[in-house]
Formats: sequence, C-alpha cells, structure tokens
Amino acid sequence: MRWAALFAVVVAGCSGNAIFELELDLPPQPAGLPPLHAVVQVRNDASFDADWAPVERLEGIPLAPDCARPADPPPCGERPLAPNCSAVVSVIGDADDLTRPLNVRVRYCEDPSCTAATDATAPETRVVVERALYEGRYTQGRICVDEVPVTPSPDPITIARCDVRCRDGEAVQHCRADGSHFCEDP
Amino acid sequence: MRALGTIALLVLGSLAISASARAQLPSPPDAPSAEDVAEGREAFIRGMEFARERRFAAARREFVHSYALSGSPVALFNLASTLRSLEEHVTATQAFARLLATPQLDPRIRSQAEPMYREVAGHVGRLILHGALDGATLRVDAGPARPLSGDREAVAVAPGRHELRADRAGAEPWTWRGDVEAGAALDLLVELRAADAQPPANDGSTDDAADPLPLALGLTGGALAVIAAIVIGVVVADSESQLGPRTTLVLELP
Repeated sequence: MRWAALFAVVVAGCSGNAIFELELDLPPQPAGLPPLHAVVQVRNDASFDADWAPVERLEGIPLAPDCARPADPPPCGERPLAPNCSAVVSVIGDADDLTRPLNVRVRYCEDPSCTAATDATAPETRVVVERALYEGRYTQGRICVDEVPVTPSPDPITIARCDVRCRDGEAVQHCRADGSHFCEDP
Repeated sequence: MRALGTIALLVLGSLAISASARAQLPSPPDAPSAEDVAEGREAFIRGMEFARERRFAAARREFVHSYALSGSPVALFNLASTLRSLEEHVTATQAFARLLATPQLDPRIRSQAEPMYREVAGHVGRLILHGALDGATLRVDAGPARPLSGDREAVAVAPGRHELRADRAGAEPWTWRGDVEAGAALDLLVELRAADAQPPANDGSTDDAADPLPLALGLTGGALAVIAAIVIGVVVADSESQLGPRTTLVLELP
C-alpha cells in the first residue's frame, strides 16, 4: 500500500494556479498637478475598508500627459491599449482563491510607492472582479479610467463574472447559455 | 550590434507556419576562425533576408550554417525563432534552452527569448535524466545515439509515447517507456549497473516486511528505481505545470 498511498498524496497535491491579467487603461496626467503614479494593489481576503497598508503594491506607473481620451471614447473593451497609457498586471492565485471576489485598488499617488504624506488621501479607483480566477487558466479583465478620480473612497467598478475573458471563450460573451463560464468545464 | 538590431524584425515576422522538415541543432565551434565568423555573418544576413520574405525553411538553413560557423548567440536566437515559426517545437525548445544557458547572454536577447522558450516548451514534453551519465549514450525511439554527460540532462520530445535506452560499455542497458504530455516534465533516474552486478538484497527491515507489495510484485532494484522515477516525475510535472505570468507586472494574492 505504501507506493499507492504515496502516489495518491502526490496526485492530491496537484492543484494548479491561476492567473488573471488585469488590463488597465490609465487616465492622463492631470494638468496643474504634481506627477502622479498609478499604484496597484489586489486582495481577496478583506474589503476596501480594511487596512491595505501591508498588502503588496506595485511600483507606481507614471501617468502620461498625452493620454487624453477623445470626447466620445470607444467602449472600454474595444479600444486599443496604448503602451504609455496602459498596463497589464498579472494577478496570481491558487486553488484557495478561485471563488473569492477580487478587490483591486489603483491609487494615484505622488510618490511611486504611495508613501508621501499627501498620498494618505490619494484618489483611487476601486474594482471588484466577481470571479477572476479559474484553475490552470489565464483570464483577462479590463477597466478604463478616463480621468483621475476625485475621491479616495469611490464606489467600486464591478467586472461581472461573464465579462472576464477566457482564452477559450468568445469575444463578446464569456459565459455559455446555461450560465457556466467558458473557463469552466462544460 | 547590427545583428542585434535586426532581431525584432525577425520576431515580428515569425508567424507560425507548418513544415515537415526537421532541423538538427548544430554544435557551436570551440574557437571559430575570423574567416568562419565572417562567413557566418554572411549566412546570417542571408537568413534575415529569407525571414523577411517569410521563407523560413531557407532562413533556417542559413541560420544553422551561421551558428555552426560562428557559435554566435544571435545566430542561435534567430535559428530558435525560425524553428518556432516552422513549428519545429522540439528543436526550437532545445535551441532556446541552449541559448538561455549561455553565460552573460545579452539581456535584450534573453528578455525576448524567455517568453518564446516558455511558449515552445509548452508544446513538447521534457524528460529530465538524472544519474551518473558520463560515458553513457542515449537513444530516443531507436534514433541515433547521443552522448550523455554530467548528472543531469534534459531531453525534449514530442508529446506522446516514447522509448529511451541508455547504454554504457560494461553496463546493463537502462530503458524507459512511457507517455509524456505537452508541457510536462518527467524526472527519470538512469541507473546503469555493471553487467555482473547483483540486484540489492532485501534487508528484511521491519518496514519492508510490513509492506509486502514490492516483494509480492517481484520487483528488482532497477524496477523500483523506475517506479521512483515515475513518482518523482509526477511531482515535477505538477510543479512545472504551474502557469507563469506573461507580463512584467505581477502581484500574488496574499
């Protein structure tokens, strides 16, 4: 039984990870303000009201002044992402993270690490991804922020479960008619 | 430097096409002469022209020639990229692996090669051979014998069933037969026992006595090693099946 048991333990441990690629269409650097940086954090174990200070953050992405949108910008999902006005962040989770909504903060800070005194009340964008991760899959979701927000505690933008793209899904609808996601086995 | 500047052109032009021809990865020269380097450079330029015209089979021939003469990592990168375009995933994987093992590889080449390597490696299976390999030779699917050395060698194979045989003079041959999935890696322990060596005797320990399965199956030491290799292989295949980020900005959930 020892060999069989060992094999079973090994197989039971085979839980793959999952990666959600968050596409951020960033706002332009506002005129008349100090240079701002978009600082991204993610978590799924607490709400936006919790203390996010210990949560890992990416080095701030400088906002570019030439990223102004046209008066009537294309729908978010249809616009091309300009390299200097966008970023794609890979969020890596494992089996324990699959069903938890993903909370994303994008703070617009003067300091790239968001540690300047003035950054304590930095405006931010909040995003809730209803379900971002599927085991063994790359998924994608996009948010477009046309202007730097004015409040540090805005209502979150929601990326619905069926708006999360799966490489095997279709371009417009990412859930099947029965409501299951293309990232799930039929 | 001129060659480096042309890398992007090849990468951008290297869309996948199918081809049945197979390339052999040449060995680099130990100390190329100036004449060989010059000829290799000319072949490289011809390869670039073919690549621009999307004549990848011809480009491959020139890059093989260029690399065999010069040993240049740039030529190897373009050869690997061309093999990728030709969907010769096994050889492309070998080429990228060799390139990325180059000490002090130009960071620009490395940054382009790494994602391409991950992509082509996802199309092949890898067999990682462990053991005292010096002096041994390996045949994959009854193909030509290739020398082994050191204590670890990786062999890229197309997904599917394969048979390996390792030989060394005076030793019993080692064989393995099994399936490999695309993107998986199997660790195999190669044990080449002297031809007159006896299998290790069961020491009759309490542990083994309490677990009669190996004896009941009549397993020899070599067979046990194969089973161990398979179990190790499952672990490694799992760890390497983890997705890797495709962007430079990465956050891990707490």
